[in-house]
Amino acid sequence: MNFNTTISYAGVRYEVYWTSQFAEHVLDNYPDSHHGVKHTEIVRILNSAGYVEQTKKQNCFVFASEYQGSIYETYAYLIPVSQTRPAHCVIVTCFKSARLRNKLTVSIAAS
Amino acid sequence: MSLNQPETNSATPHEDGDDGYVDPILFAEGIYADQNEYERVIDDFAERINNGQSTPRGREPKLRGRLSELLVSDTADYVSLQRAVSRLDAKFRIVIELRYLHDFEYSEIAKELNISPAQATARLANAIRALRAELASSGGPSEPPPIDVAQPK
Repeated sequence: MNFNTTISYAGVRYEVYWTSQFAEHVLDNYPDSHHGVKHTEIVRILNSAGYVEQTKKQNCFVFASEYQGSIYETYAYLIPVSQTRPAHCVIVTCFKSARLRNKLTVSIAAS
Repeated sequence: MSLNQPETNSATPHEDGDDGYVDPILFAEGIYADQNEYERVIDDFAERINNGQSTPRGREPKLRGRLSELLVSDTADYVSLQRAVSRLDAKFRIVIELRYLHDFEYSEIAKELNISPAQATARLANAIRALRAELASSGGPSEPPPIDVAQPK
Protein backbone atom coordinates (compact mmCIF):
# COMPACT_ATOMS: atom_id res chain seq x y z
CA MET A 1 0.00 0.00 0.00
CA ASN A 2 1.46 3.32 -1.02
CA PHE A 3 1.11 6.33 1.21
CA ASN A 4 0.57 8.96 -1.41
CA THR A 5 -0.14 12.29 0.23
CA THR A 6 -2.36 13.96 2.76
CA ILE A 7 -5.32 16.25 2.55
CA SER A 8 -6.30 18.60 5.32
CA TYR A 9 -9.78 19.32 6.55
CA ALA A 10 -10.98 20.91 9.77
CA GLY A 11 -7.51 20.97 11.22
CA VAL A 12 -6.98 17.25 10.67
CA ARG A 13 -4.58 15.74 8.17
CA TYR A 14 -5.96 12.67 6.45
CA GLU A 15 -3.54 10.32 4.78
CA VAL A 16 -4.32 9.24 1.24
CA TYR A 17 -3.23 5.78 0.18
CA TRP A 18 -3.22 4.41 -3.32
CA THR A 19 -3.40 0.72 -3.93
CA SER A 20 -4.40 -1.04 -7.09
CA GLN A 21 -7.45 -2.24 -5.20
CA PHE A 22 -8.47 1.27 -4.25
CA ALA A 23 -7.71 2.50 -7.74
CA GLU A 24 -9.97 -0.14 -9.25
CA HIS A 25 -12.64 0.84 -6.79
CA VAL A 26 -12.39 4.43 -7.89
CA LEU A 27 -12.53 3.48 -11.55
CA ASP A 28 -15.52 1.23 -11.01
CA ASN A 29 -17.44 4.16 -9.64
CA TYR A 30 -16.83 6.38 -12.61
CA PRO A 31 -19.88 6.46 -14.79
CA ASP A 32 -17.87 7.42 -17.83
CA SER A 33 -14.54 5.85 -18.61
CA HIS A 34 -13.74 8.91 -20.71
CA HIS A 35 -13.99 11.28 -17.76
CA GLY A 36 -10.31 12.02 -18.12
CA VAL A 37 -9.58 12.37 -14.38
CA LYS A 38 -6.41 10.53 -13.46
CA HIS A 39 -5.73 9.37 -9.93
CA THR A 40 -2.78 11.66 -9.66
CA GLU A 41 -5.05 14.55 -10.50
CA ILE A 42 -7.67 13.67 -7.92
CA VAL A 43 -5.51 14.70 -4.99
CA ARG A 44 -4.68 17.97 -6.70
CA ILE A 45 -8.38 18.50 -7.30
CA LEU A 46 -9.13 17.70 -3.65
CA ASN A 47 -6.45 20.07 -2.44
CA SER A 48 -7.79 22.82 -4.65
CA ALA A 49 -11.30 22.31 -3.29
CA GLY A 50 -12.75 25.63 -2.22
CA TYR A 51 -15.70 24.15 -0.36
CA VAL A 52 -16.47 20.93 1.44
CA GLU A 53 -19.72 19.64 2.82
CA GLN A 54 -20.63 16.53 4.75
CA THR A 55 -23.14 14.25 3.09
CA LYS A 56 -25.77 12.34 5.00
CA LYS A 57 -23.55 9.28 4.90
CA GLN A 58 -21.23 9.06 7.87
CA ASN A 59 -17.72 10.38 7.26
CA CYS A 60 -18.50 11.00 3.58
CA PHE A 61 -17.82 14.47 2.24
CA VAL A 62 -18.39 16.17 -1.09
CA PHE A 63 -15.65 18.53 -2.23
CA ALA A 64 -16.32 21.29 -4.75
CA SER A 65 -13.22 22.24 -6.73
CA GLU A 66 -12.27 24.57 -9.49
CA TYR A 67 -9.29 23.02 -11.17
CA GLN A 68 -7.72 24.09 -14.43
CA GLY A 69 -10.84 25.95 -15.41
CA SER A 70 -13.26 23.09 -14.72
CA ILE A 71 -15.65 22.43 -11.84
CA TYR A 72 -15.28 19.08 -10.09
CA GLU A 73 -17.16 17.13 -7.46
CA THR A 74 -15.14 14.66 -5.45
CA TYR A 75 -16.60 12.25 -2.91
CA ALA A 76 -14.32 10.96 -0.21
CA TYR A 77 -14.57 9.31 3.17
CA LEU A 78 -12.55 11.15 5.83
CA ILE A 79 -12.07 8.49 8.46
CA PRO A 80 -10.94 9.56 11.94
CA VAL A 81 -7.87 8.18 13.65
CA SER A 82 -8.29 4.78 15.26
CA GLN A 83 -6.12 2.41 17.22
CA THR A 84 -5.09 0.63 14.07
CA ARG A 85 -4.91 3.39 11.47
CA PRO A 86 -4.16 7.09 11.27
CA ALA A 87 -6.81 9.46 10.01
CA HIS A 88 -7.15 8.61 6.37
CA CYS A 89 -9.04 9.48 3.23
CA VAL A 90 -10.73 7.01 0.90
CA ILE A 91 -11.74 8.57 -2.38
CA VAL A 92 -14.96 7.28 -3.88
CA THR A 93 -15.16 9.19 -7.11
CA CYS A 94 -14.21 12.42 -8.83
CA PHE A 95 -15.80 13.93 -11.90
CA LYS A 96 -16.48 17.15 -13.75
CA SER A 97 -19.77 18.33 -12.35
CA ALA A 98 -22.29 19.66 -14.82
CA ARG A 99 -24.73 20.43 -12.05
CA LEU A 100 -22.34 22.47 -9.94
CA ARG A 101 -21.04 24.29 -12.98
CA ASN A 102 -24.56 25.29 -13.95
CA LYS A 103 -25.61 26.34 -10.45
CA LEU A 104 -22.59 28.22 -9.19
CA THR A 105 -22.48 31.96 -9.73
CA VAL A 106 -19.29 32.63 -7.76
CA SER A 107 -15.73 31.41 -8.06
CA ILE A 108 -14.91 28.43 -5.88
CA ALA A 109 -11.18 28.49 -6.44
CA ALA A 110 -9.35 27.78 -3.18
CA SER A 111 -7.85 30.91 -1.70
CA MET B 1 -18.63 0.42 1.97
CA SER B 2 -16.74 -2.50 0.62
CA LEU B 3 -13.46 -1.61 -0.96
CA ASN B 4 -12.75 -5.17 -1.91
CA GLN B 5 -15.91 -5.74 -3.84
CA PRO B 6 -16.98 -2.51 -5.43
CA GLU B 7 -20.51 -2.44 -6.57
CA THR B 8 -21.22 -2.13 -10.24
CA ASN B 9 -23.07 0.84 -11.62
CA SER B 10 -25.64 -0.19 -14.12
CA ALA B 11 -27.04 3.22 -14.92
CA THR B 12 -25.88 5.31 -17.81
CA PRO B 13 -24.38 8.72 -17.17
CA HIS B 14 -26.10 11.79 -18.45
CA GLU B 15 -23.71 13.35 -20.88
CA ASP B 16 -23.66 17.10 -20.95
CA GLY B 17 -21.96 18.02 -24.16
CA ASP B 18 -18.52 16.99 -25.29
CA ASP B 19 -16.60 18.75 -22.56
CA GLY B 20 -16.37 15.81 -20.18
CA TYR B 21 -19.00 17.04 -17.75
CA VAL B 22 -21.29 14.30 -16.51
CA ASP B 23 -23.99 13.72 -13.95
CA PRO B 24 -22.65 11.14 -11.54
CA ILE B 25 -23.94 7.75 -10.59
CA LEU B 26 -23.38 7.67 -6.85
CA PHE B 27 -26.33 5.62 -5.78
CA ALA B 28 -24.49 2.32 -5.66
CA GLU B 29 -22.39 3.72 -2.82
CA GLY B 30 -25.48 4.74 -0.90
CA ILE B 31 -24.35 8.34 -0.78
CA TYR B 32 -27.59 9.41 -2.40
CA ALA B 33 -30.86 7.53 -2.57
CA ASP B 34 -31.63 8.58 -6.11
CA GLN B 35 -31.02 11.21 -8.77
CA ASN B 36 -33.53 13.60 -7.18
CA GLU B 37 -31.70 13.54 -3.87
CA TYR B 38 -28.39 14.14 -5.60
CA GLU B 39 -29.77 17.14 -7.46
CA ARG B 40 -31.38 18.56 -4.32
CA VAL B 41 -28.20 18.25 -2.25
CA ILE B 42 -25.94 19.71 -4.94
CA ASP B 43 -28.37 22.55 -5.65
CA ASP B 44 -28.48 23.39 -1.93
CA PHE B 45 -24.69 23.17 -1.72
CA ALA B 46 -24.30 25.52 -4.69
CA GLU B 47 -26.84 27.93 -3.25
CA ARG B 48 -25.02 28.07 0.09
CA ILE B 49 -21.74 28.75 -1.73
CA ASN B 50 -23.36 31.45 -3.86
CA ASN B 51 -24.89 33.10 -0.79
CA GLY B 52 -21.70 32.94 1.23
CA GLN B 53 -23.31 30.58 3.74
CA SER B 54 -20.87 27.76 3.17
CA THR B 55 -17.51 28.07 4.88
CA PRO B 56 -14.62 28.18 2.44
CA ARG B 57 -12.13 25.40 2.98
CA GLY B 58 -9.08 26.59 4.85
CA ARG B 59 -10.98 29.02 7.03
CA GLU B 60 -11.25 28.33 10.74
CA PRO B 61 -13.09 25.02 10.85
CA LYS B 62 -15.68 24.05 13.38
CA LEU B 63 -13.69 21.14 14.75
CA ARG B 64 -10.61 23.26 15.29
CA GLY B 65 -12.68 25.50 17.53
CA ARG B 66 -13.54 22.48 19.61
CA LEU B 67 -9.88 21.66 20.15
CA SER B 68 -9.27 25.27 21.03
CA GLU B 69 -11.44 24.75 24.08
CA LEU B 70 -8.33 23.27 25.61
CA LEU B 71 -6.46 26.56 25.40
CA VAL B 72 -6.61 30.28 25.11
CA SER B 73 -7.66 30.57 21.50
CA ASP B 74 -5.11 32.62 19.64
CA THR B 75 -3.19 31.25 16.71
CA ALA B 76 0.13 30.78 18.47
CA ASP B 77 -1.51 28.88 21.28
CA TYR B 78 -3.30 26.65 18.84
CA VAL B 79 -0.07 25.81 17.03
CA SER B 80 1.57 24.96 20.36
CA LEU B 81 -1.41 22.83 21.22
CA GLN B 82 -1.26 20.92 17.96
CA ARG B 83 2.44 20.25 18.47
CA ALA B 84 1.87 19.12 22.03
CA VAL B 85 -0.91 16.79 20.95
CA SER B 86 1.32 15.29 18.28
CA ARG B 87 3.97 14.53 20.92
CA LEU B 88 1.61 12.65 23.21
CA ASP B 89 1.64 8.90 23.53
CA ALA B 90 -0.56 7.35 20.88
CA LYS B 91 -3.21 6.17 23.34
CA PHE B 92 -3.59 9.71 24.69
CA ARG B 93 -3.34 11.42 21.30
CA ILE B 94 -6.11 9.25 19.89
CA VAL B 95 -8.62 10.08 22.62
CA ILE B 96 -7.81 13.79 22.39
CA GLU B 97 -8.25 13.76 18.62
CA LEU B 98 -11.42 11.71 18.73
CA ARG B 99 -12.97 13.94 21.36
CA TYR B 100 -11.75 17.39 20.36
CA LEU B 101 -11.20 17.10 16.62
CA HIS B 102 -13.82 14.59 15.60
CA ASP B 103 -16.32 15.48 18.30
CA PHE B 104 -16.92 11.90 19.36
CA GLU B 105 -19.11 11.16 22.36
CA TYR B 106 -17.58 9.14 25.17
CA SER B 107 -19.63 6.15 24.15
CA GLU B 108 -18.30 6.48 20.59
CA ILE B 109 -14.71 6.73 21.82
CA ALA B 110 -15.28 3.66 23.96
CA LYS B 111 -16.66 1.75 21.00
CA GLU B 112 -13.87 2.87 18.68
CA LEU B 113 -11.16 1.90 21.14
CA ASN B 114 -12.95 -1.19 22.40
CA ILE B 115 -12.92 -0.02 26.00
CA SER B 116 -15.67 0.81 28.47
CA PRO B 117 -17.16 4.31 28.62
CA ALA B 118 -15.68 4.73 32.10
CA GLN B 119 -12.25 3.83 30.76
CA ALA B 120 -12.73 6.30 27.93
CA THR B 121 -13.54 9.04 30.40
CA ALA B 122 -10.55 8.18 32.57
CA ARG B 123 -8.24 7.98 29.59
CA LEU B 124 -9.38 11.37 28.34
CA ALA B 125 -8.75 12.89 31.76
CA ASN B 126 -5.28 11.35 31.81
CA ALA B 127 -4.67 12.56 28.26
CA ILE B 128 -5.56 16.12 29.21
CA ARG B 129 -3.23 15.85 32.21
CA ALA B 130 -0.46 14.60 29.93
CA LEU B 131 -1.19 17.39 27.47
CA ARG B 132 -0.87 20.00 30.20
CA ALA B 133 2.43 18.49 31.27
CA GLU B 134 3.62 18.47 27.68
CA LEU B 135 2.66 22.10 27.22
CA ALA B 136 4.34 23.09 30.47
CA SER B 137 7.56 21.27 29.60
CA SER B 138 7.69 22.86 26.15
CA GLY B 139 7.25 26.35 27.55
CA GLY B 140 3.92 26.64 25.85
CA PRO B 141 0.96 28.76 26.78
CA SER B 142 -0.25 29.17 30.29
CA GLU B 143 -2.22 26.59 32.16
CA PRO B 144 -5.28 25.65 30.18
CA PRO B 145 -8.65 26.19 31.75
CA PRO B 146 -10.24 23.29 33.57
CA ILE B 147 -11.87 20.85 31.24
CA ASP B 148 -15.27 19.46 31.90
CA VAL B 149 -14.85 15.73 31.58
CA ALA B 150 -18.39 14.56 31.90
CA GLN B 151 -19.33 11.19 33.18
CA PRO B 152 -20.58 8.88 30.44
CA LYS B 153 -24.30 8.44 30.28
